Amino acid sequence: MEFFDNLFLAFKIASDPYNLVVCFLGVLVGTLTGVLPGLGSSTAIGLLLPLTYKLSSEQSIIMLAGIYYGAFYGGSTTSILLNVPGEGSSMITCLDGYPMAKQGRAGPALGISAFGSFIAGTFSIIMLMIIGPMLSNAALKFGPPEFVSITLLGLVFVTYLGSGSMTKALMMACIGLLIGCVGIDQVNGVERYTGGLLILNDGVGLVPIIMGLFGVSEVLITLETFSPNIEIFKTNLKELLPSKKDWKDSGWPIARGTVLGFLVGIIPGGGGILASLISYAVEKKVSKHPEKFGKGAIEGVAGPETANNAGGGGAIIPLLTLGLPCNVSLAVLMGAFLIHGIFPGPLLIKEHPNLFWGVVGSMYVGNFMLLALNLPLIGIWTRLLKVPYYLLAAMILMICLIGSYSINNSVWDMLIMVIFGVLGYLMKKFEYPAAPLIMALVLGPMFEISLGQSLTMSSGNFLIFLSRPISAFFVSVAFLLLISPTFLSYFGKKRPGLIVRDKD
Amino acid sequence: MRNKALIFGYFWIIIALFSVYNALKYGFFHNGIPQAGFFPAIAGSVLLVLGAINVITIYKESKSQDDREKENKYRVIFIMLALFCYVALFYKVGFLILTPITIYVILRLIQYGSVYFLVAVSVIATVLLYVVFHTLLKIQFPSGSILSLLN
Repeated sequence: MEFFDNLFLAFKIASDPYNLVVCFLGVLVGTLTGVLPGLGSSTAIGLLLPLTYKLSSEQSIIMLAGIYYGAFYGGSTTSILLNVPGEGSSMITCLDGYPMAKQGRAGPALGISAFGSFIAGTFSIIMLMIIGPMLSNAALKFGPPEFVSITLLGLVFVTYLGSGSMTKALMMACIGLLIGCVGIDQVNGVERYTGGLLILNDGVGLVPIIMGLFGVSEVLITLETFSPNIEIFKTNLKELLPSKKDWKDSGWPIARGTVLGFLVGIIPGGGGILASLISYAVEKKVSKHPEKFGKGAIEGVAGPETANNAGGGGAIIPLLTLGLPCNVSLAVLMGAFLIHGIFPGPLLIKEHPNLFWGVVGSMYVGNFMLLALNLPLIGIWTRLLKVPYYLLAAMILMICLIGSYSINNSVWDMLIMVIFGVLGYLMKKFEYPAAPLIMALVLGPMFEISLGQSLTMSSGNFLIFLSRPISAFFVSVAFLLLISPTFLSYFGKKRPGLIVRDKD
Repeated sequence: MRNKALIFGYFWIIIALFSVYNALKYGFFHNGIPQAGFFPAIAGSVLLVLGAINVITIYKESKSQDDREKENKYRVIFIMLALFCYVALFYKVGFLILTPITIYVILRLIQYGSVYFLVAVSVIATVLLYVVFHTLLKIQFPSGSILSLLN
């Protein structure tokens, strides 16, 4: 009965005209960012954060969440039509989506990808409604040591599943934690790393860092390598609807992709890329015609695209219930929560039921909006790809500058944004991932407070993290993940993140 | 490219040393209670160890050629300079004058097109930014010394 009460509340909040408008704006911008290569959902959420200051917390989160899951839908368009993934998680779709487009079957590929995404998105929301409150109640029993160990595990997972050097990823996590220390210490009231600058007493702003690391650096790196000579395949609405055979071939891949993607998605660092990669491998393994994969098999589009969306939806659960962002876009979204004075975690459902259920309801509505946006309007999205990149790049740079200024009407925020833009550019060039930095920056202050509380509880004894069963379990898994690359390389095997990179 | 990667690797080690050195000044541990420097000292120390491993790994890597075009590199450097100039001159010159100039410079650096077209795009983009941020979001922009003198 409680389930239906919650469902009613969710739809009541989601059907508020203002919420419908912000949800539509969110999924529209999300689809746009998914379609446009070089503009990820994390960048878009960061860019639009300053615009949400005038909105209520509910409206802001509904809009920003819309951008997050909307980008998953849009990402497949460029993969299928251009062989360029709009989002990293749509990378695998290129393998069979683009060959399908070359064979004149771009329509069914886009269609099945949109329908699969819709099914996966809906499944994730239902699971969020069922698992969310249960997980939240369980997490209420967590004390500071458990929060320290789960945050540690989350950070280790992100570095372990990242597609690059684990050493560099861990270094970036440490940098994020150190940046989080700048300002007045919340426990002892000591000024740290401020250099006497009053402007740094409140710490380094999250939004300028996000805008710099994801907005400016992405534009700079793209301008170094961008090639405007790409071919777009034309399609029309009639061609978009998959045939009966397409549905028959895609039914099981969609079902498997939904469940698999969801399970991978709820692991921190798992997310869409890994989910789509595993789904592709599974589909190829179970197929009677594995030789067709890579040459335009619809199963190779249906499975990964579904898994990608299910993974993205599933990843929201740990954020809303444990306060643990599973990927960088969600870390930015968590930043938005914090900016609006809301702490995502076990108390979110109890303290802000309207926000939690409003987001759930808007995700239902947003999924329908996305289906409508992605099928009939596909022509508009492909036309948008013809907007010259130099115009887009100039606008992104200016929005980053003005957006960071608008936070506090301060030129310091602009300066921080530009510094992190340059740093982010160098990090990309030398393959240092920005995602662990942002996640550590967002989680750092709470991590430090929980660590301090835990050690105070135990009079400075670090064994407190091993003496409590849940905490000991999380710490053990984190330790195993940290040492596993050494053993894997000894046996000539690779960790999942490196397999993803090799596929790329 | 390897030398540049090494320089960047050393950069993180310097950051780590700086943070550990300062963290120890903030206090570490007292009567079983962590002090303000405890957390950054731990994070900085881990960074220091990882930074050293990273530099050793880069040393071991074979030398690779940088195949990126020099022209694109300079373009990126000039865009970075344009961004820093925008920040430095924002209060002095003001939003309405500086923004179209900066957009024009960025567009010119990225794409060699008709001057009239680029000027028109710069002005339209500035108007759009002004409407969104000033008119809709009520953000106050500096008018700058030049416009203030005219007034």
